[in-house]
Amino acid sequence: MATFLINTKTELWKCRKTAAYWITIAASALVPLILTIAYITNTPEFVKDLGVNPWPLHVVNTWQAAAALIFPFYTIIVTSLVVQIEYRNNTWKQVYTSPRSYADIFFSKFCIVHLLILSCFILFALFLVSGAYIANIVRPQYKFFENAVPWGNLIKMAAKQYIAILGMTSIQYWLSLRLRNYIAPLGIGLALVIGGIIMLDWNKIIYYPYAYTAVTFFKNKGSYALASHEIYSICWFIGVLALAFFDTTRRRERG
Amino acid sequence: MKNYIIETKGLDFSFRSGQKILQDLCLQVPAGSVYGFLGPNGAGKTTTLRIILGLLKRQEGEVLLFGKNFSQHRLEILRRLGSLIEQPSLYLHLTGRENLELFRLNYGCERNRIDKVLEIVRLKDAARKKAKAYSLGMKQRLAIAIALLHDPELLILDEPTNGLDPNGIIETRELIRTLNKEYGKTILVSSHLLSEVEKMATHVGIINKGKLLFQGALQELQQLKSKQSAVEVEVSDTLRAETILRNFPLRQVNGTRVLLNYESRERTAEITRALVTEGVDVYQVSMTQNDLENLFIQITSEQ
Repeated sequence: MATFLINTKTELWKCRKTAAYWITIAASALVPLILTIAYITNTPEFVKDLGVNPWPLHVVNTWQAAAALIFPFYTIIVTSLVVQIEYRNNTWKQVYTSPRSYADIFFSKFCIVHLLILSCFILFALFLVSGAYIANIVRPQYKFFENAVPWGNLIKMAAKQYIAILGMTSIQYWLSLRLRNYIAPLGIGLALVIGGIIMLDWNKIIYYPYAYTAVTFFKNKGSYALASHEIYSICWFIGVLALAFFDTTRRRERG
Repeated sequence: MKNYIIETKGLDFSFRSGQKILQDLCLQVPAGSVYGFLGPNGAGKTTTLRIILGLLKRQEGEVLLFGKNFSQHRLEILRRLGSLIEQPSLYLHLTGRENLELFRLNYGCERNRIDKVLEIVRLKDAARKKAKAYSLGMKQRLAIAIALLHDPELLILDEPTNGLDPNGIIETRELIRTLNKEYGKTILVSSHLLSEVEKMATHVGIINKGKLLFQGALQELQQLKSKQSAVEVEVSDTLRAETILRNFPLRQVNGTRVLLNYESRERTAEITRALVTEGVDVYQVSMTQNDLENLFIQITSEQ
């Protein structure tokens, strides 16, 4: 276990100075930043819209674009980037000839993908709150300071979104591992997300993992209980991850 | 029973198309040797090394490293060897030292090993530069440094001098010799240049079209080579020379030159003396160059 943690740390180090870090910050800051600018430039309208306690609507506004598009896109890009480090540098062979078990190699990288996704969620929540405060400092008409930050609600949203995104992460990870060309998993992933948004009202959408974040946001954001598509997300996550790992151990050629 | 560090038994490998890459390959790398794995491009050298390292799934046969079955003792074996396969694999966006630090953690070795290996490959001054900015020779040396990090007993180097300038080739060769003599490492090094292998190997294996044509100590190869060597004599009269030299192993006549099998230095002197005594002018006596191609012909024709 200790060696697994050390090896996971080395996987994180490999992402240093790569786009993975910057994209995490960009993806988490984008929507809060746009909203903050909108609040500052279009104050009277937003003050009226947001009402006495501006937080609930602010949270919904921020999550809307993020849930449907930004987070799925981010997940796809960051998974590709993390795996692509090995392909681009031709280092798979060095990784596979170091004394690390196949499970160690497979899961340590996957942990990094998830670590980055979780940091993106946390940063997103922080930007969401600080953006509102900044708008309030510039435009005192807002009532963000007068009301408490709905941390409970924010954490619930983030947790549900994270569960909803789990299924996708396994599929994208497998695609990124199997396809040497990074455009391929990227293209397939983006097409599947856009397809999901188009089919959002389809009655079988709960079986389609690339639409789960949008389904959670638009149809199930209030409830604490896991919706059926969120349970399916966990099933996709475990099922595909197991298949991908089995595939990795059986591959004819590595690196 | 000799002590082999690497031993493959009846290794077969073919592509899905059915094209055979390796046939019944039995490699035997003795402990403490520099084993030159020689063959033209596309002969199956890299394929063999990749199978030995478990990067390619073996189809038929057995791979033993340190006397142990690779698939059953993968981690234990990998801990005892260092490798460099084809072009160096480095994280180009990281510095030389950062690259080493990553693998140091993977291998779980002491921090001071980094300075030690940087010293061995003489990259200390460039350790803070990004690997991207390295010349090919430096990249190659950094890759060797990574292979040396955990002080392995065995090094597997695939064409380590490929693409290097003459200086780099000499440096790498010196490094391989030092690692073998001073640090006692067994080294399996592949190359497509006979002259290269002759300068550093103690043992040689020659592969062509997936088959091992020759395997043995360097001296055995040199004996084989001398059989193949020829003396070329440029004379004023080839017709008379032919009659004078009827007691020598004459091979062929090329214009003004006669070609004879090389036997020994003394016999070469006898050839010249016989010609001169009989009044045939000798303009030039030379040994013909032996290249890998001729050697292959020689070895294959003997089988």
